[in-house]
Amino acid sequence: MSDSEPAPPALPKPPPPPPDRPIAQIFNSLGIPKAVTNFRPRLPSRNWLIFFGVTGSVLGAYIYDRRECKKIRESYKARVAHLALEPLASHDMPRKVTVYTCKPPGDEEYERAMKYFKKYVKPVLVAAAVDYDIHNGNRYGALSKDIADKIIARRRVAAGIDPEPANQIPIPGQLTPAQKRAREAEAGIVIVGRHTFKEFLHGVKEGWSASLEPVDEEEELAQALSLDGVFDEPEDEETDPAHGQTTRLAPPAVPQLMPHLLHQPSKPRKTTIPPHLDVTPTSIPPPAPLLLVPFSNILGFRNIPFMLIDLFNERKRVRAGSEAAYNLVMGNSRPFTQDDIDFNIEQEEEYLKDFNELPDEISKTRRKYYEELAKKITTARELSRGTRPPTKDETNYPPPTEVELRAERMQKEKRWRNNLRGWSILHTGSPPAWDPRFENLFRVYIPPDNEAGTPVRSEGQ
Amino acid sequence: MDFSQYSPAEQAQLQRVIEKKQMTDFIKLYSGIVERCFNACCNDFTSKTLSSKEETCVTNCADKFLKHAERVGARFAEQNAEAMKDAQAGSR
Repeated sequence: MSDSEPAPPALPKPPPPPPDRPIAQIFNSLGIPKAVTNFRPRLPSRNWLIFFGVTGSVLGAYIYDRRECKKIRESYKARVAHLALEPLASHDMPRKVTVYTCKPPGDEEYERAMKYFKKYVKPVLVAAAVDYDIHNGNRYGALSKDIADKIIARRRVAAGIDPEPANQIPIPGQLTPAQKRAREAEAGIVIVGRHTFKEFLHGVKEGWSASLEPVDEEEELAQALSLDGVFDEPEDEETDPAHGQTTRLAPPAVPQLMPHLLHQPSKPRKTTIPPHLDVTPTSIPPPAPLLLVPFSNILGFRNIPFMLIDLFNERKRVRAGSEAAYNLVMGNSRPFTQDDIDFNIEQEEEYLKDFNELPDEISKTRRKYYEELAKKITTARELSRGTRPPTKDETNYPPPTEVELRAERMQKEKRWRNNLRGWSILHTGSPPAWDPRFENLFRVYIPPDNEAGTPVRSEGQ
Repeated sequence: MDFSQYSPAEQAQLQRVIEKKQMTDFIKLYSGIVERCFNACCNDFTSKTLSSKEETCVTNCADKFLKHAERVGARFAEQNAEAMKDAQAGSR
């Protein structure tokens, strides 16, 4: 080392940059900057790749699904659109189908099945210009009761007990009741979901098996409840031999409620109808063919992953609903078979445990209610008889009187009994109502090119 | 009431007044019973018809009220008679 002072070591000279490609040189001399000619596409960083990958897949799945839905729906609508263009005489009405939907078991929202119909089945009906009439059951068992009541009203009119309902103002082109029934018989009945199917069968069976006597159920319930020992007083013990057990205002009245009803000495109802008219018919006039629409309703916090899967698979439901509507519109039907009784049975697996355990829950609520009721009755009676003066709280917020307590009890009992009746129709594993007269009665809509069926009517009305 | 000091026309008029008063009293008694027995017996408006319990209650209420009225009338007449006897005995 000849250097006496520390001098910076000589850095090796950087290698000269490689010459530009000829095409780059040409573009550069034309004025295109080097940033453009030297462009090298690079992938983003690993983290960005993950982010874009996940977001892109989710979005892609969603968008793909929804586009497929639209395609499917439009394809079915196109297949029936020619029916909407057919001319209709000025006094004629389009074909009108009846749609039955019910509150799904375990669900608070009672219109879910109706919304399902409107979303998946209705578009194709609208495209084919087929009118519909929705009957929704807002509580468990309500639809079955409605159907039974309608059938009983029809039977009463047919037996001559009730006059035929006639409109005050005759409208030109109005159909006679016979013509109306004929239209209904060929129109079609849409049933959304297995729960509706069970309620439908139950209602039809009840309607064709019940007696034609008008029954005021509220009145009967009120009388049955008044014979229960709940509102009795201790002095009645001697004069009331029917109540073997205690007549104190105590819960022991509760467990007797259900068997109590069964052992009621049935008062002979005054018959307003001659017995030869009040006959259960041996055969049922065939109703319109049924369209069985599968319905699925996933509930519960633990089922959220399944709900998410459904979110990305809407096309399946759209296809099922549109195909069902297409079958209805085309009108090809086959007779009902025993396999159809298990229609959509996988829906029953989705019922929540809370619904299937409804009777236990109701009996617990009942017990608690009657315990509280005893105290309230004593307070009400003491205050109304003036046995003791009201406390300050009772003056400011007067407790319910005995009349109110009875009315409240009646309402609660009505609700509990209706829920139990609905539960017995609907719970997982309960067999659908069946009647010997149902053999060879129902028909089911199937695809139009299926030779198994015979068309109820020709294509297009 | 003694009618000896009145002329027949006045007697007739008095008779009519008395009858009218009795009628009003009877009607008051009737509506009194109806109200009392209704308030006491009928507390359940969930049913349109009277239950058997309510019927027995109403029967008992009406019977007891009338018997009670009869009993009170009898006691009152007794007391009245005694008081008159004392007054007469005292005035002698």
